[in-house]
Amino acid sequence: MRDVIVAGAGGGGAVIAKELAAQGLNVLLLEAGPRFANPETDWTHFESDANGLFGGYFRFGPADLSRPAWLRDLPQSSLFLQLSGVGGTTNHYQGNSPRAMPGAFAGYQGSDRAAYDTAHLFPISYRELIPYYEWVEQTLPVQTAPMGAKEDVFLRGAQMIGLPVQRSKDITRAACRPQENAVLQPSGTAGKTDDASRLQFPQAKGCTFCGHCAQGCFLPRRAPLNLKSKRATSVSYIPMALTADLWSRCGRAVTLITDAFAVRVNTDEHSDARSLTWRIGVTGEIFTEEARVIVLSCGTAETPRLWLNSGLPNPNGWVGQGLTDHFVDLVVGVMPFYTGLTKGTGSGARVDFPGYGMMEVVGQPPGTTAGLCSFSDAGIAGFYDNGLPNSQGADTVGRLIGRDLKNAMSNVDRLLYIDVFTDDDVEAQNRVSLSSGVPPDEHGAVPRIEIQHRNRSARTIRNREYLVGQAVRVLRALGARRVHRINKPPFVIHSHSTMRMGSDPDTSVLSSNAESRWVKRLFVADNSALANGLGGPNPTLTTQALATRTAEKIFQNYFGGRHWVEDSNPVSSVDNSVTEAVIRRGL
Amino acid sequence: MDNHKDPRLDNSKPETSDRNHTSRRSFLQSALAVAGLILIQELKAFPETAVLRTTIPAPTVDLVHDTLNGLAAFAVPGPDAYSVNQGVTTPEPGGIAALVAEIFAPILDGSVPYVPNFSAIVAGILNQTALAVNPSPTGPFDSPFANLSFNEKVVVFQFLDATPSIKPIAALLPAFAAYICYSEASVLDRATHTIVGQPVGWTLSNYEGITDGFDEFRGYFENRRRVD
Repeated sequence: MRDVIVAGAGGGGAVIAKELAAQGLNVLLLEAGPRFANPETDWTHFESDANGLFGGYFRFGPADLSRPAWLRDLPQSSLFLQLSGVGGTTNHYQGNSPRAMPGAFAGYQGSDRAAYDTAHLFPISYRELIPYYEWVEQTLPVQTAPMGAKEDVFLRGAQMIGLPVQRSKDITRAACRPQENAVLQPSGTAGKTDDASRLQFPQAKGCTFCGHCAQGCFLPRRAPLNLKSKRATSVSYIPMALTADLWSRCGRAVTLITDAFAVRVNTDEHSDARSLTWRIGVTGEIFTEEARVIVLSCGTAETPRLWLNSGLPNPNGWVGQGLTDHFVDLVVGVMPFYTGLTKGTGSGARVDFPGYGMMEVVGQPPGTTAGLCSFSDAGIAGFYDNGLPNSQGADTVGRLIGRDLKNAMSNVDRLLYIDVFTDDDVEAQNRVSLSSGVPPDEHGAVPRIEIQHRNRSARTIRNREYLVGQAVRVLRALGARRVHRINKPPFVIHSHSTMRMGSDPDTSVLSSNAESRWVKRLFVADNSALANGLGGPNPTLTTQALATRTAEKIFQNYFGGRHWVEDSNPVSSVDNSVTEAVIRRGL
Repeated sequence: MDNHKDPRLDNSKPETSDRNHTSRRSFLQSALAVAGLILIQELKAFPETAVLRTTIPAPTVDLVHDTLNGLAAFAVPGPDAYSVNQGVTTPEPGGIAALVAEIFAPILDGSVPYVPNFSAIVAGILNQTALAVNPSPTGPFDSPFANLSFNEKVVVFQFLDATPSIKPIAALLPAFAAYICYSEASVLDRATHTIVGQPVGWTLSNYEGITDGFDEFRGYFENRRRVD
């Protein structure tokens, strides 16, 4: 019998596996997708190679790209961007690692405490999470982002509309700042040359400003796996998990099995979690293994799907309910000067608006930029608006099509692209359930992801409109020639709270320890465990901090261990001991 | 759906068209009066998952290609025949030159693996809707959608947007067409992870192309490498 089985090796599962392995537990880590063992040879900078939803190597599907992707039932205009494989969605994330809004937690006493989703707060205090934030921030590590042109321009615009600068990790007021991100700062030739031959490790270290975070970071070339610039868990926590016996005094290496799709959680006569069943994609073989504790980290769609397909209890109906997605919108400015949109880190600067959400400057290659400028819920700009006319001062609302698109895209490095992330309410109507319209696949009924995009709460809608207005102000202050509000349909790049923890047993699935209320020994350690949308900030760091805390709770409550976060210092994933372990193990 | 109440449709500026001599307003009035209500009734009859089950006869491969070419020219026009026919052209190449249709059809087919030839279903929806918008579109193409004017294609999408069962494709089709056009998809050799020519979209967007890094580092904001 294993000590712990973790299903899902993404942003959260990799963390809990590494932490428990470092304490010497026997951990089995299952991943449904590919291994991604050789990013330098397997990945490219081409967006259509990486990010094609159905044929790219970053998709939610099996490793064999000749086989179809795994389906979700999306009954509305929407994109739900997740990927399978070791590292999960951190492989295409931008590494942004802000802390959550303190107002999203229990016990917050700020004067704006009524501005948040007070019915669905975290059941723990923000202060309690800080040591776990610090632990993850040192492990990844999280550092202050360097500036490229787009960050320089964006922060100048934010200051022009009167926003002060936030100089602490904690968000204390409406303010702008460089991102705190999980991207190694540049040194050597990194960021100082276009010449690829001079950008190899160790001549270059850290971020080389290539502009391809979303295609997977494998730079600098020749760097050991754990010294790649962007700190996806595939290059940080996973290498540490696989070498825990080498760098941790009491550690034990994790066993990792890929192409292993978890299909059922099995319980014993006491209704405690007892074993996990998974299916190997290539062979179709089915395996079941017992463990003292089982952790689900399959993502916000797949974790509730696995729960429901396993027939586990759902007495209050909240399994899968309460999806928050930050009600994302996009405002694009056509600028009269160079912005470097396609270069540098994916996003190196942001503005936080406590009680409303946040916005950040974003860069990406031209295909993604054009596609997202044409992806709207508000019809076609200049023709019809689907009943969503509110521009908040922008020149157009809706999809850019035809000449409008060509004009906007005539120089992609003169665009300033601001993504808006709303502090959205937990609402039961936004949810994951089992589809009856799409046929089951080899893993059972597929998840149906419903988002009532036009029926959000008044607070959520108000927050988004406010943020869009602020983005337009920034672009106007900078002298934008044209400002386009896209008004996106659900564009789910942040998703949370489908298995939410909470203090109210009537509206939550997990206790404050992230353990199931109804099935003991069963924990959740991905974004679905979050109680809410964090007030708008990017969720990965908070999920990783919470997963670290959950690892401690498991170790204390089921293995008689002690807590470690407050009593010790973490080993950084870029520490020499880890590098030596990675090389020694041939990773 | 009441198109007559959309002020921007009624008051929009004329297109610089070389074939569309009908004003947008008069077109809409006639098209909607003759065909719109019929179409709406037809589309309302689709069940919510009708996109996956519809019995629209499967068009031929050529018709699918023709239809998606009409979409490509709509999303990103150029100097090609499809753009000329829709009455909105640009001197620079567009979605046709970027081979959007050739790339998009297999993507559509792979997106719903349990529905054979999904691209044909999508093409059928576009063409059926096109015939309702304009029962006799003039043009050289097999696809009724490809034979529509730019403004008529807009109305097709307005219908799709107003029909819950097929609304998802109204948002996704132009976005995918634009994505394919401006990416390197048309010249990417997936086997070697290399491109075999200059992507149209890179030229259109003045994109410098991929590399392992850029001389783009501007220092640290306020010269701070870490927070307080």
